[in-house]
Amino acid sequence: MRSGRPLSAAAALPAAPAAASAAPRNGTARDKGKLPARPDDASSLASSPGSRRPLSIASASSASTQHQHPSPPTQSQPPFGQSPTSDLFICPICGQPTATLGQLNRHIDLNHPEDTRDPTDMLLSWFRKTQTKVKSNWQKLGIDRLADGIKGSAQAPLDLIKGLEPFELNPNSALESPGSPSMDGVGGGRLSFADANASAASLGEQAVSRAHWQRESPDDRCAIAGCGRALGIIAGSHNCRKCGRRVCEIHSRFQMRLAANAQHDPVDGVWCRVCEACYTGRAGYADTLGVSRNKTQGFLRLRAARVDVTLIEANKIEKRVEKLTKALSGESSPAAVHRRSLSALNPLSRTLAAEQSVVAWVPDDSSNECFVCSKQFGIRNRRHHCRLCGRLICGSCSSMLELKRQLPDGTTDKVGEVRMCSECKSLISLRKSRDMDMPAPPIVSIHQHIVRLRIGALETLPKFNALLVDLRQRRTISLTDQDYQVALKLRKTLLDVFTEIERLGKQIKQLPTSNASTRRLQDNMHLAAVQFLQANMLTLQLMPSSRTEADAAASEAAANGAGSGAQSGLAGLKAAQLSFASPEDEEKYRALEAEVAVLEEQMAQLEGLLIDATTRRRLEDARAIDENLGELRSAVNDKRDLMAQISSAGKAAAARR
Amino acid sequence: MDLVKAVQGYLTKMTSEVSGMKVLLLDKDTTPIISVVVTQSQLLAREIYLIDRVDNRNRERMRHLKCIMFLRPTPASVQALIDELHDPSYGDYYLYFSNTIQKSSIERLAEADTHEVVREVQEYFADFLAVNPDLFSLNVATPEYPLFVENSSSWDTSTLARVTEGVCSVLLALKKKPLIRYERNSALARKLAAEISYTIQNEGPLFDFRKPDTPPILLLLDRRNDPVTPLLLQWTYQALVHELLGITNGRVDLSDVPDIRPEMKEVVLSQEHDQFYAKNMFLNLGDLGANIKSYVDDFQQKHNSTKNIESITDMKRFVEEYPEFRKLSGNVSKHVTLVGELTKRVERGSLLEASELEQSLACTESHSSDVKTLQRLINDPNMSDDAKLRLALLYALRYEKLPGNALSGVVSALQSSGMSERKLSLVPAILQYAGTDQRLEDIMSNSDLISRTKNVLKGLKGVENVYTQHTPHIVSTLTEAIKGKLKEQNYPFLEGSTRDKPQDLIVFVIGGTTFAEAREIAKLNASNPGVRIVLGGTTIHNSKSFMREVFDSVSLWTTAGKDAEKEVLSPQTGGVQRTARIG
Repeated sequence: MRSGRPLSAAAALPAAPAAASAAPRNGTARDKGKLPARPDDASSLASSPGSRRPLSIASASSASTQHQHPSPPTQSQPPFGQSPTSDLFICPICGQPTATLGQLNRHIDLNHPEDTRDPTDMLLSWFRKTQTKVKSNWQKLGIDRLADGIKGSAQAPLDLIKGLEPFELNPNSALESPGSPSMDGVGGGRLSFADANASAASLGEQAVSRAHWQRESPDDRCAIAGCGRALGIIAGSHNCRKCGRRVCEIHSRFQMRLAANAQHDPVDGVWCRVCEACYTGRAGYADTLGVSRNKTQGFLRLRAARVDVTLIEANKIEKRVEKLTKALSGESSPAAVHRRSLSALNPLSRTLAAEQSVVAWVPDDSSNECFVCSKQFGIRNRRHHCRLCGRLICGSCSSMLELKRQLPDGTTDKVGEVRMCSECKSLISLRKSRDMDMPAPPIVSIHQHIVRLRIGALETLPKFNALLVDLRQRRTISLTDQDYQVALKLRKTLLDVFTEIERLGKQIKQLPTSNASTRRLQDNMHLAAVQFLQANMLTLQLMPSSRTEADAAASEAAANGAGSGAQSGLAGLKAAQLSFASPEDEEKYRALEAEVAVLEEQMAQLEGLLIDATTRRRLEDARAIDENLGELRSAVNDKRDLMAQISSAGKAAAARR
Repeated sequence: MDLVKAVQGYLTKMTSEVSGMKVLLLDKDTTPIISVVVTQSQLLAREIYLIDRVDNRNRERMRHLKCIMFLRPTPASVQALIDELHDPSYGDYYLYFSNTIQKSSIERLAEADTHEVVREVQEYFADFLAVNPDLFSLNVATPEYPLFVENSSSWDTSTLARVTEGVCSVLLALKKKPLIRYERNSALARKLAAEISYTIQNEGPLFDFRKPDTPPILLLLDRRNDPVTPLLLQWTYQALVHELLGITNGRVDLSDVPDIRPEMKEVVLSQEHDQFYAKNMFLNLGDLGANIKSYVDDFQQKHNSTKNIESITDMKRFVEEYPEFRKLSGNVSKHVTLVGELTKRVERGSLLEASELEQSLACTESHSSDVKTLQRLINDPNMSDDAKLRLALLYALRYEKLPGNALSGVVSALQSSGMSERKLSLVPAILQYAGTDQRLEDIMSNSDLISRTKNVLKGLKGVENVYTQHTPHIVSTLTEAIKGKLKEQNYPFLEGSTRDKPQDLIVFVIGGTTFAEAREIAKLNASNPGVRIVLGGTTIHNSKSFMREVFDSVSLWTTAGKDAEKEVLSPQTGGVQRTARIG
């Protein structure tokens, strides 16, 4: 067991159902946990919170007890007020009558000492109490359908009908005068509903065609799929005004607006009683997809207007980068340099001049803050000029751009570095990212491969499954059966696909990577591959069962006559190359062979599971599988040995012959 | 009318339109929305191999991935998206927003998309947490989203906007254009109704649906009309887990349980993917115990069968059952751990005794014995402060108007048992929040002779079980509504009206709903096949979160001025000034 402690805590609970059914169902039983709490005080019992009673009159306590806990009608509980033992107190546990409450309490204290006030016991006894009560209560309400998790199941319990209020149509105000008594006729209860229906109840409904109604016949059954209840006084009997079919009370407690031709008309129709199928089958009733609004077009228009401007900007910057490269590599026109010939002596100022020849710098005193982050310039935060747009920028908002010259032989040569602002940088990177699409990493092609395989598998799988279902329904399967052969082939294909997916998944996992999110991506992709296999490989395992049939068929064939040439399938083919000492040996050999085949199949599957369990760190499972694998292996080996013995005996016999 | 399917439908549409390796980027609002309806393996099967937050700046550049974004169009998310577009990490971008995105935001995005990587911009209205098929939450709760400002009748502006968007997205996801009804005494409900109606009119084309036979009804309720339900200990599985352990976005945090195994530190409770849970979530602990037992037996049987495999048939059975077995083994230990932990906590905190008194306080009028028990339990050292406080609050609510109630005695007893002032201040706070005068209907059945008599008569019929006597108030409201007999006087229509029985009913509780109410809705849905009800709330409360909400709300009112005037909403204010506060 995986978890010792919490389990044992909960394992203590389960005594509940058994004990509850064993304990006497007497109404007072529910109070037994409480009684000993105040042994001799009858009046305080009445006001004790555990058994809160509306009547605090001591003499009525027995009666009120019954009242308080109405027992199920099936039990022969004397009716209220007429109880022959109404002046006696009956022990809820053993049923022994006592004269007074005091005696009863003493009796319980002496004879049933296990009723302690221990909280665990209280909890358990509460569990027991509620168990029976809540269950019956839920059944009464028809909620057990909920408990079963099948909401709206067609098989509603019959007693649901008894508690139902009469069905009432909405007022058809469009057709009736407000004061019309039409609705009042319905109040007559369930049985009279059918009559009321036909008469005053539904002036509105009368306007709707009834030509399509199913005729009444003696053994009508509810037309709702899955119900099929016999219609009549108990289950009720109604015609759906829309489809005309006859249905029971429960499945006709719905209403919708119908036009005169009995078709759905939500606007001008009149309210009519309809069946569940018509009600839930309305257009849009089961719609689960909500509203969405597509804003893509508007967005693209806005972006297109904006992108043109950006592109022009980007081109401008690009040109400047080219000019700068030229200027710094000394290829610029001598005129530009000569104009600043004075400073041309100093290499630093020559660079400056070259840079400024490309774009005019704004004066240093034009601004006191960085135009990107608006931080004040000062001793610590020096001002810089962006070499591409000439604006003032701080150190942290700028970065260096390497300028490279294209050499005639195709290589590049670094000619210098210039400072640029983040805006210009993003424009440059924009150009770059457009110009060169990064080559797709290997993971993309692997993924595409997996996707193709998956699509292939999902196309083949339904065919295989359909065949399987078909094969499993047959009693005997001959190995030459075309369907069986096809299934085998499909299975082989699928197995290959799955193996390939597994291999690719592992390959992805093993791709080298340096950073965490790529690692996570690869792990997740591997996990996805594993999950795909887990979800879809299941039916492959069902194939062995058809093999068992084959097994049976093989042994059957063997029984029909040893060495009969009609032997079919793999077993037969292999056997043809062997010779046997006796027909019995051959029979044995074939049986062993079939068993080995099954076992090997199992082993292959187990190995798959083992790998999976180990990768998912389910070591406990892995150990269990491993043990089983070992057992299987030894079983296979034993059988192989036996087979070897038989065949060697056969060979020896053949040699003798 | 299936909320889970609606969100899943959106997600399927989002993920299946694009083929290739994908990454899914979410923000802090959409992460829980997606995670409650889908498992990782389902996403993997749709080629989504990475899931990340859009505001995580350390994402690595992988141009060979396509990026699907599902974001709530909040300023923060839009900004994160703009940053991403400036320097895109992935190849193509498909943007989906969980609600209406403003035109200005689209313009900013278009401006930012200089790399022209965005392929799709759509609005998919999954802006709510689909907890059950018929239960949703907006995850709107204090302190992030306070309901009120200044006084009990004015919405906090940003919360109102958030709630309006959330409810409208539910309507859009379910394709409903409803008539709106609200609780008459709730200014918040009235204002929300007006806002929703305004949005529906404003977004005309969005709400253009097939004409229904009878218009769906959106019923807006206020938690302040039923403060009792969230204070009670509920014994059904889902509710009890939420009360004792807490369910956050479909997950239960068990890390504070001693000796917990590492894989059990956080467990997922999903009706969709856990059949045992789906079957048992509405059962009380009693039935659950039995079901767990048979579940464990089933598992053990399968487990044992793997241990002693002797014949080929055994082997084959094992191989065939192995996948199911493996799924079972994780699930069995999950539920066994959960139920074990619940049982332990119930015992340790003497919660059975507390529950008994809670139910008595909630359902019947018996002052002398209630006081006696309450005094005894307050002095019980086993009981937690919160449990005692809950009892005191219920006592205050029940006997608020009883002349000579022992409220001050109870408070001083709590004080001497060592409860903090902060917690004690909740006793007057709850009366201010949801005392008799604040409530629309007489949920305690003790305001006049008629309702008292009714209560006594009800008591005469007997109770099913002392621990589950109480039925949430919402049940009587909805039973009336299903019959088409909900009083217009107490639940007026915002505009239009109908006498038809509703066929689709959307109920929204301002101030949060509870799992106990969700269970009642599920019951109503099962027993009334002609009507479909979904329930929602600003959040889903357990007693702790409810008490915090009461505390936070009331302290807001008191800091804003002790005598907050009760303001009457004039019909004109609603709807026109969208963001203006009332008054």
